Amino acid sequence: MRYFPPQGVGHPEIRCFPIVISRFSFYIVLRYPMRAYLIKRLLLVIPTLIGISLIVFFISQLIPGSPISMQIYQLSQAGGPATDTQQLVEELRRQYDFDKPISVRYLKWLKGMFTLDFGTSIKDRKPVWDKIAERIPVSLQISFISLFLAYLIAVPIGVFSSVKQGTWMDNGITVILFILYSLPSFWVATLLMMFFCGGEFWDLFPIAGLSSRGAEDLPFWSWLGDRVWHLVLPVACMTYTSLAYLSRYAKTGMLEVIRQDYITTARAKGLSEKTVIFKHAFRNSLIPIITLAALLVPAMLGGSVIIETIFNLPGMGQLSFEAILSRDYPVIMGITTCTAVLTLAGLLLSDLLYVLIDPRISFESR
Amino acid sequence: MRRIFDRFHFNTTLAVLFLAIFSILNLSAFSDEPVRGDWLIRRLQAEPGTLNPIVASDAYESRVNYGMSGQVYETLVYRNPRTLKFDPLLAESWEESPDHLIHTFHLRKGVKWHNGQPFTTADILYSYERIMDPRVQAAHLRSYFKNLKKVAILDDITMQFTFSKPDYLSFESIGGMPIVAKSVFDDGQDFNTHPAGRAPVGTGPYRFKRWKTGQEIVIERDPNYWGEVYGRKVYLDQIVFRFVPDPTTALQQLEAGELDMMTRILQIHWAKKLNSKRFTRKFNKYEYYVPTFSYIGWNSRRPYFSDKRVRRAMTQMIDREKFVEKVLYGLGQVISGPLFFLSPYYDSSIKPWPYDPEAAKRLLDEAGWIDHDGDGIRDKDGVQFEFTFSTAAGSKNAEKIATLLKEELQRAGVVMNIERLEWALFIEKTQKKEFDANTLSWISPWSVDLYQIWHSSSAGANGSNYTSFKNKEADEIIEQLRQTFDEEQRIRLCHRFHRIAHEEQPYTFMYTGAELIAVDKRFEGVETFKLRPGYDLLEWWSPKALQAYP
Repeated sequence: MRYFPPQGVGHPEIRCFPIVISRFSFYIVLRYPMRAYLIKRLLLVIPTLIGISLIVFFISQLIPGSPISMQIYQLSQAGGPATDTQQLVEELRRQYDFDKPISVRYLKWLKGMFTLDFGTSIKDRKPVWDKIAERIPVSLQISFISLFLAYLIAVPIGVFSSVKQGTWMDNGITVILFILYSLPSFWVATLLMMFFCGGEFWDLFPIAGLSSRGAEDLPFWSWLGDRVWHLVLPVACMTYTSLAYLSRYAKTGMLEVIRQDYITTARAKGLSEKTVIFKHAFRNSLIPIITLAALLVPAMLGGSVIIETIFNLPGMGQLSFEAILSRDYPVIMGITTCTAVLTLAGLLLSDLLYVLIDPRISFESR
Repeated sequence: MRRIFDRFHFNTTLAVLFLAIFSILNLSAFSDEPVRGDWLIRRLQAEPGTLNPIVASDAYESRVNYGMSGQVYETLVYRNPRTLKFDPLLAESWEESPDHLIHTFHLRKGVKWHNGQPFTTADILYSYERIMDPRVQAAHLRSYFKNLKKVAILDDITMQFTFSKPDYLSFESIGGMPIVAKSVFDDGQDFNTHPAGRAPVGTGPYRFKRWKTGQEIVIERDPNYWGEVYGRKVYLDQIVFRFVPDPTTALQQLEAGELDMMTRILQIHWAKKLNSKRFTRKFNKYEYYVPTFSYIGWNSRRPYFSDKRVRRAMTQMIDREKFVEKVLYGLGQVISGPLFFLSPYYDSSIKPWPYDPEAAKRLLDEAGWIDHDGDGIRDKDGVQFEFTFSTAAGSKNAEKIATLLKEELQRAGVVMNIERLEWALFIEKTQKKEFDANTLSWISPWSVDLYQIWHSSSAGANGSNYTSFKNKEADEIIEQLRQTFDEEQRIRLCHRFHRIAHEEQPYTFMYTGAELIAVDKRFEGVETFKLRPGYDLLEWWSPKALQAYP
C-alpha cells in the first residue's frame, strides 16, 4: 500500500552556497539538475578548503609555544656542553623553515597540497600522509562499529519512548540515558578496565591494544575473534555516550510524524497500532536521523583522544592530540585538511540523502 | 601469543599437561647459572620519533638503541655502572696525549654490523661527517664537537681526534658519539628520513626485529654478536618495548601479566596500590636514585628575587621534608645543591636550609621588604611583593608545591598567584625567562658540567640558565672544571660550587625523587645503578622453568 507523504514536516534547509558559478553552469542546472548540482558543489569545495586551510594554518602557528623550544628542552635534559643554544635555535629554525615569513610557509604548504604532498612530521620526519593513513583504519573501525551499535540501540529506544510518551517507562529511559550521557568516559573506561581486565577482579577482556601479540599469524576467524575481543570495551565506551542524543533524535522525529494527519487516517482505517507505527510512521521518522549519520562521518574519523589513550589504540584522536601538544604543524594541517574534506563530503552526502529519501525535495529549484 | 592461546584454543588441556611435565623435568636442571631464552616485555611511555641515533632527540630512542651500554647500537666506550669508569666497547683501547688535546682510539677487531659488513674507522668518520653536515638534523650534537680540529684515520682500526683546546668532556664526546654504518646509510637517500631510521642496523647484542607504529618495537638477540668472544654475553632472546602512555593502563597491564617490567611508576601507585600480596608475590620492586633533581627557580631578573636573602627566605618557607614525606610518600631525598647527592661531587656537609618561616620573615625584613603602607602586603621602593608561580598543567606535584607555598607566603605578607600553563607554552616561557618563579626538574649526566645551567653565558635568550644566575666566582669554577682532569681537584671544585649555590639559592633545591620500577620475579640478575637508566637489561635472564615466552 502506498503511504501518504507527510505534510509540512520541518526539514532543515538544504545547505547551499548562493554563488552562481557561470552562465554555463546555470545552463547545466536547467538541463541536468542533479549532475549540475553536484559539479557546482564539488567546485565550491576548492575555495572552501583553501579558506579553511588558511585559517587553520595561521591560527595553529599563532598558538604560543613552538616545537623548537620543546626540542631544545629535551636536548638540554640530556646534558652536556650544549651552551651555544642561540646558534642551535637558529639552525633548528632554518631546518623547519621558521625563519621564513608565515605567508611564504603557507604558500609552500599550499603548493605541496596540490601535489597531495602533506609534508613531513616534525616529530619523526615521516610523511604526514603515511601517519594519517596508518591511523585512519584504527579510528574508523572503532567509531563505525560504535556508531552502528548506537543506531541499533538508540532508534528502537527512541521509537519506544515516543509511543509510550509521558509514561513512567519513557521517563525512566530518559533518566537512564541522561545518566549515561553525563558519565565521563575516562572514568567509565578506567572502571571497566579495573573490573574486567584481570586486575583484582574478572579477567575477561584484554586491557589495551587492537590485537594480541602474534595475532597476524592466526587463521582469519581466530584473528577476527581476537580483534572483536579487543574492541569490546573501547566500543562500549564510545557507544554509551551517543545513545542519549541519538535516541532523542529518533524520538522527536517519531513524535512529529505520529501527529500527522495521515497517521490518524491510517488509524481511522482500523490498521493495527503495529502496522501504523512500523509501516507508516517509522520510515518517515528516519529522515533526520539518517542525514545526521552523514554529518557524523568526519567525527568518526577524528577518533576519541580519551578512549584511544586509555585503551592504547593508535588512532587519529591520539595523533591529533599529540600533534597539537607538540606543535607538529604539518600533522595538524594534514589532519585538519582531511577532516575538512570529509566534513564537506558529509554535508554533500546528507543533502543528497535528503533527496533520495524524500522525493519532494529536488535540485531544480536551486 | 601465550594469552591468545589461553582464550581461543580450547584444547589447552594437552598443552597444560605437556607444560607440567616439561617444567618438572626442567626444575631438576634448575641452577644459578644464567641461561638464555625468554622475552622481556617492557613499557615505553611514548613512541620514539626515529631510531636513527644521530637525528634522534628523545630519550625513548636511547632506551631502545642503547639502554645502559648499548643494545642495538654501540659506542666506542661506555661508562661501567659499577665502577663508574669508562670501559672499552667498540674501542679496545685508547690514549690521551699529556696536553689532553689528542685522543687516539684503537678499534676492536672482528666487529661486524648486523648486515654482515665489518665495522671500521670509515664508519666513524662517516658518522662524524654526518653530524657536522648542516643538512643533517643533528644541530644538538654539533656543539659537542666545536673544539674538534682534526679527525684522522691512521689505519683500518686506529683513529685520532685532535682538539684545539683541552676540555674534560672531549673524551666523552668522542667515546659516546653515535656511530652508524656507512654501508647502510650512504646510498644516496636523504639521511634525516633514511629508512634505516625505522629499521636500525647496529653492532650491538640485539638486532632490530620490527616496529609496529603506535604499538611496539621489538629487538632480538643477535646470535652472531661479536662481544660473545670477549665475554659480553646476553641472555634474553627478545626485548619488546610497548608504547603505553597512560600510567594507569600500564599498571593494569603489568598486573595482568601483559608487561614484565614497568619503569617510572607514580609515587601514589607505589605507596597505595603495589603493596598487596597479589602484587608482591609476582613482582620485585626496586627503588633507586639516578642524577636528577626538582627545583623551584626564582627569576633573578625580577626585583624581589634579585636579592639572595629573599630567595633564601623563600626556601625557608617551604617544608621540604614534610613535602617529601606527605606528597612523595617518602620516596625522595631533600637536597641542598644541584649535584647528585649519591656522588662524591655533592658536599654532604652542607645541610639543606631548614623550614623556618620566622627566620624567613626576618630575612625579608632585612632585605627591605616591609609592609610600609599597612595593606598587609610587603613592599619595597613602591613595588608590591606580588609574583606569579608558573607550573606545567598536569604536574600534580608542582601544583601541590605551589599550593603549599601560597598559603605559607600569605601568612608572611607576600602575594603569590598560581598560573597553570600548557606544557609547550610553559617551556617556551621558561626558556625566554618570562616567569617570576616556576618549578621543573633537571636530569644530569654523571660527569659534572655546570656550564649549561649555571654559567652566566647561558643566561641569554634561549640558554638553560633560566633564572639568570650570575656569579663571578661560580663562573670561574665552572670554567676551571672544564680544564681540570684530576678527580680529587674536580671534587673540590664541585664542593666549592655547591657551597655558592647553597648560599645564593638561585633555585630552591627541592628533592631528588626515587626511580620506581617493578619487574616480574622470574627475572634474575636484576640490579639497580646510580647511572641512568639505572638497570642493564643485558644482564637479566630467567631460569628455564620459569620462562614465559616464546
